[in-house]
Amino acid sequence: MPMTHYPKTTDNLVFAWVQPAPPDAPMKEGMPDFLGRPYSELNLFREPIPPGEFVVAYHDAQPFTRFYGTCACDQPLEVTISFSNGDVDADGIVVHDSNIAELNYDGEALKLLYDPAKQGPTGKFFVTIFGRFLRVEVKNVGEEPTTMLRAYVRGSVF
Amino acid sequence: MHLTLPTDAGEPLSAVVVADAQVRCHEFTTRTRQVSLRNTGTNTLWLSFDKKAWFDVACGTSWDDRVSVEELWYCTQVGKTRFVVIGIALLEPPSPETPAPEED
Repeated sequence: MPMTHYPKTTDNLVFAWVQPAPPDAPMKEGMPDFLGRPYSELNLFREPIPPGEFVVAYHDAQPFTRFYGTCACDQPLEVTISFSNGDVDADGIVVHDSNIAELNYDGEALKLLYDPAKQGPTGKFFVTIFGRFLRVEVKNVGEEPTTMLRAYVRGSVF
Repeated sequence: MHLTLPTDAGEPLSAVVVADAQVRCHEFTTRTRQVSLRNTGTNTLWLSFDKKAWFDVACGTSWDDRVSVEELWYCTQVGKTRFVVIGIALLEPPSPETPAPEED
């Protein structure tokens, strides 16, 4: 088989939690489907995050060299980005969607302490990869459930 | 032998496909003479032409080769990925009985 070409990603959104969730607007007729799917498929937000609770998502880290993103919320957040280097789970089963959450995410790359009053200094991140699989946790460390949340994680191949 | 198309031309058979952990089959409408694809998603794509030998296409990369196939099998290890696949239909040479157009 010939070599593949150097990567140039068009689709590099790894995770997004957007509250309130934008509705799925109809596509313009005769135009390409630039997004490739309804936005609701990309948006992981399901319900406001209560105080002390968190949402979490997992992804293959191998395709990317770095991860970057932003967050904004009406509550303070603790965003934790960590990595696992396990290729199999504790039972020796190769990693799939069904067991990716059971790996040991020992490599904590970043714990971002987001403060709504300090959007500039605390609302962004940039991390290299430390492992094969990625875990992102967004925890509400405020006093109230979130009413506004925008958290994005993108992957860079360069 | 008269050809109405350039010798390297062919009908494009293009599709946008989403792969996930389940092994699925993409069928071309006719046999190809070339296949090009680009993994536009965020996960590694696994491909096979016989469901036995597999190879991977990293996200953001493309792959092409002159293969004559009617279908290809695909999946991911984790998550989903989207890819664009373009097969070029195999051109049958014109039958010897087909008369060449008259020239003025």
